Amino acid sequence: MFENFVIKIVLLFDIVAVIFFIGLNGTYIFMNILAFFNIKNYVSELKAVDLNRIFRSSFYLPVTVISPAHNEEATVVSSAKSLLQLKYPEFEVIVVNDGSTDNTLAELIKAFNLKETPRTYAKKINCQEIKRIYTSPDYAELVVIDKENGGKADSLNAAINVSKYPLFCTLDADSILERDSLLYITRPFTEDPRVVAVGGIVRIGNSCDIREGEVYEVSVPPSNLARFQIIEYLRAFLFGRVGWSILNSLLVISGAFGSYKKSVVIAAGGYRTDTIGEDMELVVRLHQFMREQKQPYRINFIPDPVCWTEVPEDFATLGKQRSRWQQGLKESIFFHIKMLANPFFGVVGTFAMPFFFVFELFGPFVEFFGYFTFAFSLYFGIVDYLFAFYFFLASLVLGVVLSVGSLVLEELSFRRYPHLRDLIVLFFYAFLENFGYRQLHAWWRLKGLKNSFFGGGGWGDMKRKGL
Amino acid sequence: MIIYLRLSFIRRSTRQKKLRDIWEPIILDYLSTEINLDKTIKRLNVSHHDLYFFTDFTSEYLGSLAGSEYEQLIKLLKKLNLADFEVKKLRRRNVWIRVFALNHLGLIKEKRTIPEIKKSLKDSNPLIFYAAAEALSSMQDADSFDEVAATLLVRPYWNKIRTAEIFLKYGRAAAARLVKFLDDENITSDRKALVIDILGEFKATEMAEELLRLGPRTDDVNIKVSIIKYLGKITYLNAKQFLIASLDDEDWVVRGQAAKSLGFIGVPEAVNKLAFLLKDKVWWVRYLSAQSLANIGREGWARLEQAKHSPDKFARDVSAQIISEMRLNV
Repeated sequence: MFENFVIKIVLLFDIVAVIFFIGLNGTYIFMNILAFFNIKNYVSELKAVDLNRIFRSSFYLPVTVISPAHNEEATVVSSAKSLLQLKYPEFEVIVVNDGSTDNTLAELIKAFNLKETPRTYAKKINCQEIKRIYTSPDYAELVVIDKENGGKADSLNAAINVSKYPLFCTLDADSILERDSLLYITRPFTEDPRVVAVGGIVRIGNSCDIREGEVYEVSVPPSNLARFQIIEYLRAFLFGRVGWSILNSLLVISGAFGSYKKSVVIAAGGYRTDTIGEDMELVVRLHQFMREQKQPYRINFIPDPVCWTEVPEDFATLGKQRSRWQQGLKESIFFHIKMLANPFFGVVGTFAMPFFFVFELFGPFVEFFGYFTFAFSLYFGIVDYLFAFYFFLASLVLGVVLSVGSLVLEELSFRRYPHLRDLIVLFFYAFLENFGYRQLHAWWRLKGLKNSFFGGGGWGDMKRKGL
Repeated sequence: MIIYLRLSFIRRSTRQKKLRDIWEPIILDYLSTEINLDKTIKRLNVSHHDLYFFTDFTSEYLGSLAGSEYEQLIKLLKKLNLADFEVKKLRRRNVWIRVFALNHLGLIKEKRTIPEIKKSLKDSNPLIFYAAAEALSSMQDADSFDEVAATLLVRPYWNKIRTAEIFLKYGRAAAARLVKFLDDENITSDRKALVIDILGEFKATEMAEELLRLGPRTDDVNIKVSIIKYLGKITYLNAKQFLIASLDDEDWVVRGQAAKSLGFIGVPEAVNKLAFLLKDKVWWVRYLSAQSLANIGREGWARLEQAKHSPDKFARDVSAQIISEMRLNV
């Protein structure tokens, strides 16, 4: 009796798994096709556009670059210096010292000869108390905010309040922008007034030679984990985000590099401080806000402005990061659950949100349940070996095809990895990631899912070597 | 496939580099008049197949050379019939080939190609008609200005920054011809506002009286703000009364812009009202008014110093900020 019941459950799950598999990979393939044409066009467009025109133009939109810092005494000065060297006609850099307990502020004061200023601002979004604002007589574009600790989202809100310009660009403390990144990322705002947010590509800088915003040499790092992440990032950014952006359904703009129209973000209420995934939550909220206001809008992703970041090279840190991302995903979806499958929200409500809910949020659960039922099936001797073999083969081939597809997109467009050897290594890792790394990744995400429903997790410390 | 793509890229770029290494010294010799035109063409030996590379190669020179060197290079390109090669590309179906051809024609500036470029101005694809407009503006072909302006201002798709740059490329003479579009009912207010902004960029003072009359009458905030900006840019003293009156406007953008323009012109009569605006509910209005007071000179500065001790927190803070910014020179 029990055996029959278990067999029925297993067979039912088999059907669910096949539908899940088709839905997930079908969407990925669709995104790949969309991204292919879009990136091809984008690359041609770049050849035709004279970026210096924006640099010379008096019709550009000035930008505030925001870099929150909490206990970053070792890197904060070099990071601020590299931001001050960005190529853009009019911008300010706001470094937010978010209640650091180390010498972050003292280092900034010493390096930039900062003076306390009675700068006023309109507190349009709630944030922790701003204790002091500093400017530098030597670096007119630099503003430093010293505030009570409130987390990254709170720091961003404080900087939005203090900022002068209509656009702002957010960065992680360890992100390094290429010198002309701002010219690229602000272009969509000047070309299309409907654009309210633009995400830029984040690339992995471990082992690359990057000095003061200039990338001297791009190479594949020796660490296996970093190599797997290169494949992941290429897949996520080059076809995932590009694809969703074409459908105007992009739900994530990485906190490491994104730019926004300030007035819209303020109208939508700024960053939420009670979530671990404030970057994704803001983007989802912007979709909701603009749709509810019945305003035409676009949230774009452009694959070229490059931000380099350091990724974890040890299992513990990477596991915590991925688990945290999964919690952020859950919170962002559940905060805006009314958008799910709601035609009022257009493609975002009817396609993007359900996809993220079913495949991205609960995907790890389905994957692990699959391994579990396979073990059961083996035990009860009900495995259709031929079907299992074909299913495994299809999943492997599709996994490899999608990863290699992002490498092909990279090769057709930006060719950031100059050595053929690097490409061959990445190709090998695109194959290898299916054996162990993918399962481990699913496990971390499953833990994140568990933490988001039952508590636990948190930020943890990132072990950095520095770019 | 990846390896194939990479290898074909390497092959292509190696060929390109090889040709560049051959062409570069020849072109430099030609530009320094060490060798004549015929000898240059013979030595360049550009095959039909290599014309694509040659186009890219010469684009960099065309974009950076000026004066006699530019003219000399153009002679060479004419002899090589490069303009005809590009015009032929305009008939291709691939949008990007056409866009690049238009860009290059804009650099070559051969007048006889203008009718062909104008045809592209009628294309429905924004990439094409913008590239055509850019090419015509690079050639500073005054005859095509009206057609270009009508295309860019009336068509549903528009790109503000590119439109502005195209108009600016035509130079100061375009200002008078742009003015007539202000009366065109088919043109939306944001585009009219851009026209006024461009008049300001050109510092086209001949429109001042007309725009000064339009300013108080218009209900359109976009247009009003652009007029105020324009009057500030040309530092038009007659606009004092209108600008001071605009400080009472209910729209904060108008108030802020009026404060800014009064600072540009330097109107001591506005000091009282600007000092009052230091208490405005909008931060930007307070900030621009304070900045304006600082720009007006001794009287304005005295009012700022006075506001530092005002019972109103807004006025106190913003005046302290501007005084500190001025002293720190930030």
